[in-house]
Amino acid sequence: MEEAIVRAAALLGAGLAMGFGAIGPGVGEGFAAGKACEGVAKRPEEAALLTRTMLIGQAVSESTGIYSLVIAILLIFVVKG
Amino acid sequence: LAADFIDWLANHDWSYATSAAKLFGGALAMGFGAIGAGVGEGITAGEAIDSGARQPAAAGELVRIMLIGQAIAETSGIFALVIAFVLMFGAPEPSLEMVGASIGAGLAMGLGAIGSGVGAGIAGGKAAASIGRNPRTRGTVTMNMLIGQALTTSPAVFCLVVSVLLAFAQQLDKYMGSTLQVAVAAFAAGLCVGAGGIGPGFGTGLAAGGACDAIGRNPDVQTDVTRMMLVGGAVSQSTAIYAFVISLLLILFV
Repeated sequence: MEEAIVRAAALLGAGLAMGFGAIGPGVGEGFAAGKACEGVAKRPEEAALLTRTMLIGQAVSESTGIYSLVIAILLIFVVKG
Repeated sequence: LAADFIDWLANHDWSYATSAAKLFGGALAMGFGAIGAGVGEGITAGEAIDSGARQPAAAGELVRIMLIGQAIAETSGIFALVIAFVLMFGAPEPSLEMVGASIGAGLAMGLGAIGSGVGAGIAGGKAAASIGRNPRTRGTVTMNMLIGQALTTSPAVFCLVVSVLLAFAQQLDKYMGSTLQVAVAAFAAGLCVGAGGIGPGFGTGLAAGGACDAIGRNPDVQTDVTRMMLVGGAVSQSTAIYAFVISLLLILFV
């Protein structure tokens, strides 16, 4: 019976982890994309460099979102209670 | 003690709690759901007024772009209104599962509308500022704003899907897992997709705003900027998609 409570807590934790974990990367990556768009308008000839830089920056910013995803999946599928 | 608690959960009469939860869920949906549209449309109006003060000749154009931008920023608020009505006037089966699902559905749509509303408002505001600065770019800026706002609204659409699944889930208890697990999972699913939609909605709005601003300054690079906005905005959406997937896992596989 205790298992049911532990399992329920793990599921709640999965939702919390992924839900709140998604906020930061979403804002951060959007900020990078907005600045990249402004950069293209100023220096259109550097569009390829800007795209590459934007994607690298976003990939780093994404990392915490992926940590949240991994933790959420672990909590759903691995914690048995 | 735990066994007693689980027994009590399974045998308790949940009819009052379910009625309370569906009303509470409706309140959560509309209460949180009003934040995004309110702030976002305010940002759009603010930028339009700022721009109009500098360029009174463009006032007609500015009012037009402001209203279009605000109408789209309103979308997520309307989703929240619909879910609030569905929850308030629905008749869920009285059970602990539906208590969790109703509150979860309200949180999903309420929290999920925040980011999309603010984001779409930022895009609308930047578009108004651009058009005020250079009224000749209104066609390209308006088109870019609409594409950007559509992308910005997608987290609210994920939340709408999850809310509808939760609000109309009549047989959650059919799936495996104890009553308590299913109820908590339904609540967590709503919280997950709702909170997860805040950042991507806001971020995509920043991307769309930056793009509208950029096109206003240099209309010749419209294609490049729109492409950059779509690529950057899509990456920014990725965490909303993770949250959507986790929340579907919580609803369907627990």
